[in-house]
Amino acid sequence: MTKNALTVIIFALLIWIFLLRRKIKIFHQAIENRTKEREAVLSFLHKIGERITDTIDLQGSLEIITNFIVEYSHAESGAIFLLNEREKTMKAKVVLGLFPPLHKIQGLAFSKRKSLTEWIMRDKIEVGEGIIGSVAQTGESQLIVDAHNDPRVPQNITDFVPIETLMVSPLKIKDKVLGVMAVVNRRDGQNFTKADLSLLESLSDQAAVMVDTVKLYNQLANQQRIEQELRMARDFQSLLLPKQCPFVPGLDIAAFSEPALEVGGDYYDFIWIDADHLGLAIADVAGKGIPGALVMSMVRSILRAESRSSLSPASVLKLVNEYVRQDTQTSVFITMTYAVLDIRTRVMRFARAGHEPVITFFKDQQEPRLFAPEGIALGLVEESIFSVTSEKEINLANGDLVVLYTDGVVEAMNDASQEYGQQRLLEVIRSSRNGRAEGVINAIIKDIKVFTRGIPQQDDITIIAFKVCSPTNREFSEVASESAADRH
Amino acid sequence: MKSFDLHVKVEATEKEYSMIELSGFLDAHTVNSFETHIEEVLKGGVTRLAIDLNDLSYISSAGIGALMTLTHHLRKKQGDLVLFRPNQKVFKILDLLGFTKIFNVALNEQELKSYLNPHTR
Repeated sequence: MTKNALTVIIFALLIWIFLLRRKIKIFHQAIENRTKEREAVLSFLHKIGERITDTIDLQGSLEIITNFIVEYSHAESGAIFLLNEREKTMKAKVVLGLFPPLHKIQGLAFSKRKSLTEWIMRDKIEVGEGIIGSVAQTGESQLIVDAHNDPRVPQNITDFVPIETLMVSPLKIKDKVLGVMAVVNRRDGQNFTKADLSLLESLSDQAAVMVDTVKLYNQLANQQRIEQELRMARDFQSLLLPKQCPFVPGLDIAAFSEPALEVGGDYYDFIWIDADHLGLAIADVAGKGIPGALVMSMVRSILRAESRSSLSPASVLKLVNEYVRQDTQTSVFITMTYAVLDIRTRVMRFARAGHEPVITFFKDQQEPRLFAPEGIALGLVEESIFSVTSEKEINLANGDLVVLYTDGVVEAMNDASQEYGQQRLLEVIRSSRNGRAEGVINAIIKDIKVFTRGIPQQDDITIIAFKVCSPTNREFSEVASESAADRH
Repeated sequence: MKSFDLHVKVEATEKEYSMIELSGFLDAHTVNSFETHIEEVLKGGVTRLAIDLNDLSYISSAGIGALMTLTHHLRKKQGDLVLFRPNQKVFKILDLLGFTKIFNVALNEQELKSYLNPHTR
């Protein structure tokens, strides 16, 4: 081989080695960057893990994240913006350092550093507006190496707070943007690079998972708290219900109450007003969770106290209404049917405070009679308006059946979103009217179960049924024959 | 089980009153959403409100409670609420509860105008 050829070969070899070394250097740099990134992410997760105790608060977590990202990016300032989904606007939750506004603003002057930060925290950015809004919209990060010559940074603001270089990255889970992270200016005066952006993106991904997790956790904790409250309310309410139906000569009484998972509660009560008069109450409290149970308890006590004052159900309810109205919130109300039964004469007087109608199957009549005298729910209006609540009096005799119920019965739903309804209720009572009161209630419950086909109960279900039957001693039979003559 | 939802549409904000259209279900699950929408409308200083209930399929006691609070709030400010065209089912519920004695219920345009026109008060 000639000397020249050798020289060329050696020269080519040197160039090749030089290029290879460059490639290797670039490769090493890439690995170094990746390693740095990996370290940064691991360090981030570790730090976050340390700081999270049993109270997970979103704001605190965001501050930790921002601090970390600003540190690791060697940035002068940084901010995290979260997206308000409903309004489609971004709002800064954390601002570190002298963070400048990044979209067009008109005629603002800040005399103090503090007022700039306050302004940034108050500012709402529309999705699509400025660089922050644009990253939120596209879900793509942006690197601005030299802000002075970049059209994405509006010129009128850079004279005001110097923006040399910046990076913006979305916080997103899969493709859903939760927020945006931005860092401005490097502390060492250099410009941000693609490697820096890559790091920011990795950290933003982690931050997004964090934000999402904290939100979900808070939602769950809230839900659990609410469920616990509701459970407590239900347990409390069951303490207020009668343990068993009263023993009344000449009366076959049965009752049933089953709470649903949510919603305020039903209650029913039997009150011995005096030796000859039995008060029956059935009620439905409208109001969520614990307040419902407390109102229930209050109403029960007030009714028991006021029942002694008068044998007129309407008068008693008027008094109860006053107490309830004063002591409850505007949105809380109770529907109630309160009846006073004279167990000697079998005369039943009742008043209906916005409650479901009273169902009666008179022995000698095929069709049921529904009574719904005028009335307004308790706790809403003052006396003068409430006094439209009127009373009805009916005479009962052997074999007559009365059923009181709450709207959970007729509003029970099946999987086709149909309601059980009053018609079906009347039918099932009709078909069991000749049996005992307990049989009537069992028939209703069974039919509701058949109808709802396993759909969970939405509202409390309460039923009171009673049947007038043969009196058990001579005294009662005298009274019975007298009242039979009077019956309508 | 179908998911029940509430749709609120602010129909018109005339000087005299604002009209809101409700459709879907107003119950314990959707009541918060309803209240948030109302807050927005009330921010503008509205005191006379009409709610078109024609497309409201169902209202529970929670929903009624919310309407009650709203009525109370508006009346305190010398304003009022009118429930416009409730369907048969919703009207029945309102009537049974005695709420037709408390709320203004307008069944047609004429009744609506008479409730909301301050000059006829």
